[in-house]
Amino acid sequence: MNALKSVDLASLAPRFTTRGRSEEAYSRLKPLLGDWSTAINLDGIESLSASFLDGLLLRLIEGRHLPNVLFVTREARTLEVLARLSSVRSADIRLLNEQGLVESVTPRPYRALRPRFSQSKQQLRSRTLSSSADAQTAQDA
Amino acid sequence: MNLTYLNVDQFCSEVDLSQAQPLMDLRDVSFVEPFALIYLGMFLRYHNRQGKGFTIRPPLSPRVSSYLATQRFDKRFNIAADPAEASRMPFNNQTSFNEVVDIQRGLYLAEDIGQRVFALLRNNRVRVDAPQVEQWISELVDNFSQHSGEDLAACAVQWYPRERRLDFAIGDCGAGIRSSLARNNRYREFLHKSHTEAAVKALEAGVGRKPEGGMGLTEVSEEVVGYGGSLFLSTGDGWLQVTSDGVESGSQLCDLPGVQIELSVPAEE
Repeated sequence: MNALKSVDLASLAPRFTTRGRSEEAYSRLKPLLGDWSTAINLDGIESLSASFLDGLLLRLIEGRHLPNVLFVTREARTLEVLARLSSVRSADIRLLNEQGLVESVTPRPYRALRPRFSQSKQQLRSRTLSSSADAQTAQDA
Repeated sequence: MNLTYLNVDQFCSEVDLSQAQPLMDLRDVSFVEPFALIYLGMFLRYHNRQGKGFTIRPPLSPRVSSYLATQRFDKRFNIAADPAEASRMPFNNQTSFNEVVDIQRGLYLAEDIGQRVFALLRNNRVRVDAPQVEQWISELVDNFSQHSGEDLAACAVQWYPRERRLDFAIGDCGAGIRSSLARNNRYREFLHKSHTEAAVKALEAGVGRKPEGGMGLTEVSEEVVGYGGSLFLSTGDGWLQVTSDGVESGSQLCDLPGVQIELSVPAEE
């Protein structure tokens, strides 16, 4: 890898909340990718969903571009999502940190679900409104 | 009686569907939570498509009766809903708390609804993480668009000022999780399993109708719970609830096709 190109994800699509939008972003990103390293800045987007990032990651893997991609983010939540995606997709996701160093995201699995089967919904912790006053206020809202 | 996610299936199961024109008796209903409202609507819509028109006895409570009338509840769900009708009921950013909104499948539907709820939260200064809520709602709406096989769904958003809680419910009466999941060869055996088992499976990351699977429901569950909220899902005769205590699941009395979901999040201090 030689030169480093930088791309702002924010410039690649108008919205970033669905998998469909990730296809759109990837189609705009693809011509910018090559044998060189590309740093994709994920920050500056108010709503960046896991499905969007997952879709983008899958296309990068499919196109064999992921080894040449470095993600840039300072957002804790985005880092968490990347860590979970790294685990689910068994992908080596690499970050360009604030010091300009490259580091791999540590995969973090989702919580184990361990579902419990209940005989009745009545055993659930109820969210039912505690006061009819609030119910009335809400119904009037 | 408050109709909630805890009892709405039982309420629906007591409607005598053997009658030519079944009676839905809402007289004792004093409040309807968003999930129950959407569930009732889907129950009516589904059976309406099977040729059943219902007689709806309105609530005795003037407040609830007036609310359902304002929402055109009967007309909206107790007739074959059509896209034209849906388009005449636009989402109103300023006043749409507690309103039922018909939504029609489309490429940008998920982000449209997400953005509108985002604006609603900001305009009303509801103290929740609005961008996060926008993402969760977009994910849930996109799931409907991608997997239900239906053109129409309905959603509702509600802010409870005293409880300081925000609920968002969305429902359809389409394919449902089990049949959608079974279209993926890897999960074909789920056609012979219960709706509950299919719903629990669909919560796993990377599991879905498409070969690569999805992340949306898993991520929403993880994040909503991390935020102190909860998610309730009903599909067929199965249900599950995700809270900080884990995943609780079970079967219920009413077997309503499609998927109906409610997420509930607390406001920040």
